[in-house]
Amino acid sequence: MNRRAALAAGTAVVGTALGGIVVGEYEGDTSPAVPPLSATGTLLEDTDRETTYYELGGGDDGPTGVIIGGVHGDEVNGYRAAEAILDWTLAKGSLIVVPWADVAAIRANSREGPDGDLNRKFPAGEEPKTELARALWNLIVDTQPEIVVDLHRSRGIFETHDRWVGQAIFPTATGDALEHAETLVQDLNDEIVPRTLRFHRFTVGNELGGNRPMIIHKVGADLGTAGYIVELTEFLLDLETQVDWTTLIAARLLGAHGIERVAADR
Amino acid sequence: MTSDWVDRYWQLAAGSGVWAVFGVLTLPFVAATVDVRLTTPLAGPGYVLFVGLTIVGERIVPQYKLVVYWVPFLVSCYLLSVVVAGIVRAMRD
Repeated sequence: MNRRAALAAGTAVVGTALGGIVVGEYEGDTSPAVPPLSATGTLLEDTDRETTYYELGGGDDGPTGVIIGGVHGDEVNGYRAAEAILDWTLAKGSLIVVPWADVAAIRANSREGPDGDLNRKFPAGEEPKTELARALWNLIVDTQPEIVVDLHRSRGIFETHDRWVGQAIFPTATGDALEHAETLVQDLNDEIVPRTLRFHRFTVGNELGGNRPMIIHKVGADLGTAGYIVELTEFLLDLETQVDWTTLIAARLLGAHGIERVAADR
Repeated sequence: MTSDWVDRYWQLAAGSGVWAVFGVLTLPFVAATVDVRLTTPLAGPGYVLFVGLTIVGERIVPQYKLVVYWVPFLVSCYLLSVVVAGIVRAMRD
């Protein structure tokens, strides 16, 4: 009910919010992947942080998920995968997609926007630290999701390169998120990662319990909802593969929580 | 005599055998990085060498982006090629 109310209130702008935006590699009036959708809304309307979100599905009482891309503006796979998801038709459940969470950072093709790193503005148990973070958080709360997925990439590979976290899925310490992540990682390594690229095999990262001020930490700690940080790597992995794998991972995670695409989309 | 030595060093440093080994080390690996669907087992040696360089390099000079490792990778591949081609040539002679 809250999700519907939030969406109804946020549907003031439909299909025009991207006018003039230069999104990452794309330059033009709109992003290339903006199909007509059942409902859209905007966060921080009429500001330089204004960004659009979309609802897919919603034709049943199934679970709802939230997909977030573009929290870091230079992690192209995240917002391009989110754009690809906008093309889906759902067979079950519904989905809120925020493809370009930090539009200013995406425009600058930099990790951080004018207010700093958006994914460091979500302390558990407290109000988010910036206006954009609060708007995004309120959308998540109003949506009452079963699952939240935040799409990222890293320079290097988790547990191969000391500082980097790529090729890993980080689940919340909530419900069966860890179990789903473990199953997914095994399937990905069996199905899509070439055997030769052994260091690019996916791993399950540490469980997220709210000890860092990140969106998914807060989702787990404050909402008790399953959430996942999806981290691909740009290391030796071409962009199209990054996008394809990110999209596939999102689909599998959503499917594990009962949100499924129609077969024709697969 | 001088010409003979120049020819020997040229063969050692830039003979066809050197470039053949260099190609085997680099081309399948480069193809895999261009499109992961082009990955073959032949990419394995170059892949392991590149990843190994980054693992070591990240600990010594963590400020560098991983893309800079293409330079030491190509140099390493060339030196390996000289060694391998030299060994093959010595065994053949």
